[in-house]
Amino acid sequence: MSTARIIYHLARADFLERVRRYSFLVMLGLVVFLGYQTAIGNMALELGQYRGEYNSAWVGAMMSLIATFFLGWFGFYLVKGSVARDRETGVGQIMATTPLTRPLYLLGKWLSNFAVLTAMLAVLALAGLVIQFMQGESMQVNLPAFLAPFFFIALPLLALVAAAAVLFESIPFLQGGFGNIVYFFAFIMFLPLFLENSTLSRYPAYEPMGLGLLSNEMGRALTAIHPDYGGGFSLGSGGQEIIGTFTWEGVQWTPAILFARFTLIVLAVAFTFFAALFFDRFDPSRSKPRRMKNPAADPSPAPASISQALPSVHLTPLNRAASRFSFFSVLVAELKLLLKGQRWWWYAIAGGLIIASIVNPSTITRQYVLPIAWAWHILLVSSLGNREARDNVQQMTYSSASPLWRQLPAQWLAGFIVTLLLGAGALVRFAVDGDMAGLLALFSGALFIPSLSLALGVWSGTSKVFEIVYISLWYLGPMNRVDALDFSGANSSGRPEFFIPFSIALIALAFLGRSRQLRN
Amino acid sequence: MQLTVTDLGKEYKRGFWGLKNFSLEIKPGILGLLGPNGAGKSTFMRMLATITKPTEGTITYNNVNVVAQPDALRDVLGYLPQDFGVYPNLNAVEFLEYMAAIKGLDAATARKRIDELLQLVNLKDAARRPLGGYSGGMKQRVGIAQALLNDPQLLIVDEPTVGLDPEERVRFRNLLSDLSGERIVILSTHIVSDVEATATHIALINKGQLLRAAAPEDLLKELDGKVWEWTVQSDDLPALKQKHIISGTIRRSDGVQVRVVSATPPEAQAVSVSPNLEDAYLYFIGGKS
Repeated sequence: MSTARIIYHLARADFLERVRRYSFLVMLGLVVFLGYQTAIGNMALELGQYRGEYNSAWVGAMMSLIATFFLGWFGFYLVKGSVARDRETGVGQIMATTPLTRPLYLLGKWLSNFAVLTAMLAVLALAGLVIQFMQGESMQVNLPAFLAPFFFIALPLLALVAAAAVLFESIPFLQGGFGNIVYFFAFIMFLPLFLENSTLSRYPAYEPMGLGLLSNEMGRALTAIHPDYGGGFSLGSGGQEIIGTFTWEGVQWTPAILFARFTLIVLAVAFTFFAALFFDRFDPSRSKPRRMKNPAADPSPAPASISQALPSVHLTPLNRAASRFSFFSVLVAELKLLLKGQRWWWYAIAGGLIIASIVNPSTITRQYVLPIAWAWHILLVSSLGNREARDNVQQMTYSSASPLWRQLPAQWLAGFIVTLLLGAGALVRFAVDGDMAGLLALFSGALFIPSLSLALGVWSGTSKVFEIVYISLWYLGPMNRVDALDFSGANSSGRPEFFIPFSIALIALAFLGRSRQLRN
Repeated sequence: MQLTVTDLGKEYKRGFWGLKNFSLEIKPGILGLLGPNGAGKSTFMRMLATITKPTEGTITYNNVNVVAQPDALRDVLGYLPQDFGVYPNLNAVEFLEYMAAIKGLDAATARKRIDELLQLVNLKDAARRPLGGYSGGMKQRVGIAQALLNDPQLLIVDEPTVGLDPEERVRFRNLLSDLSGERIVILSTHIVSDVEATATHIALINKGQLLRAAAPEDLLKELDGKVWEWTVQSDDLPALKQKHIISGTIRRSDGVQVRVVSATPPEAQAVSVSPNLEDAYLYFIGGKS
């Protein structure tokens, strides 16, 4: 079989598997929602107080920018996980027994990632055409001008995102939730870096997002008509009053620009090959062994059986009447499950954050230490509600008595206790200072975090959704002073009047979801 | 103690039934479920284990409808799924403590029970090691232990001997025999010898339908005079396979000794022999009955 044919089949099977999954439909729904928001004017591209006429070139560029921003950021989470799936299903080990090489396998995965993101882009492109007709400012469709930004701006970035997903899946410590958080912050950090980098501003075509290229081209066209344009380029809900429009005919796609954009695709392929250096090819022996609790214990696997005659063991019958259900036992077990498996330094840093919360002034604790403490345990609480699915123990736990009323409340409470423990230092600080508003905000935050995780975990069956949603809220609310999302009261009194009832609603939602799973 | 299944059915997609019109009365002892892959054995067991809700029909345990009141059964249920996982960061004791807690066992009872079970499944030495490092057979034994935690009155085990070495397999079969008596044990497998060694009753399932439910002796009685052996030349074997259900072949110096299930003597030189469960399985599942 030729190499191309191998890669094609690898990517095809993976692509089909993914587009038939529920998560793909959810993401598709979000993309359609984005298109709708743009169509009704809630999202627009503006240059200061001006905007372009809604012709094919403008709409194409605007939709491409929306695609690069949203698919660049959140598309990563959609496509990351295909290597993990091969690992979990055991398909990976079967593939590892074939002559398939590591670069070839990862190239297939990259292609499949790229195809999934391209499918999303195609939906946004279709939405763009509808938007042009809905706005009715130019009824003439100029297909080359409309499609060019999708091909030359969005696709190269999506190629890089697809490669980043492959790279993260190949590097052991970036495979899980930690990698998800790293990408989130990497994207936020790279955005201004791209825009402010002096080399990239000289060669804007090499800037992956295409922001510099489009802002330069559009700015030039606008200045020719409105010389008073003083800069400004934004994609969002606007907010500024629009004082004029201008006609923009699109980017002049010179060979130099096309070469630069093509280089980004080559770079994406290079990243994919680079990832092969770290990829373990499903060999469990290449993954770093976990440190045993008892170093004296024999690290080699115990024999499956011993050859000498085994003692006959008889089980003592249980006195069913004497044995009573204890919620406390389930809670202790859930706490153990939540906290087990962390390295010593995790607990040390958690302890340090609690102490720092006490010794720092109230305002510092509120604004920095408590939010950091509540980001520190994200990978722990993100397992709430989905741990059973992740570790495939649902059938055993769901066939136990009253799984809805015994296990789920204990799981939530364990999450609440751990969250409260990480906020214990702040609790002491606020109590000492008599800061009742701070205490109430802390309590509402401690309620909200496990509730959100439990609800999203139960309904999505994965920790990924919580990790993305929570880190976004955390970044915008406590860290960037968006008061409406400030669940911990970092910059104000928080919003306990909203977050307490919302948490209760989330818990109810989690129960509803689990009840639905049990009825299935 | 009685478990009664009446007109049970499970529709997965419109028109595709995993199980249909399934009725069975199960009394204490070991019921062996036999059937080919996709016959509906696991669907049936998941419904009994209150995990999957039937599309139609009822399951009653001691006259309580467990489809409507699953908790009536869950307190006395032990279930070993065909495909299950474990929490990799916990060790066997911690995992069993967790399962014991959600099954409602108090700490002291759980500790004693876990200790006995770990001895029983021969995991005492590895009990404090993280489950993530266990082999497939060791994980299977942890699964067996969790199924027995609450001293279940109804024990459902789906392909329990998968991944076990021969010695452990024999031990598990003996354990099942010891456990039966005053409880119901339902064992699903397509390893006929496991059922042969333990089952007091056998249910044969194919394409979501119950073909036969009877004691092993009764099933074998139906095959009396229908199992034949004789020796053929190797070259004749392919043609013979086209004509008859062949349940076994043994190479001999003068050819191949074949074992055939057939209502009438397949050849003049064929000698009638005693049937075994494998013959019965092939006879009923093969649709030649």
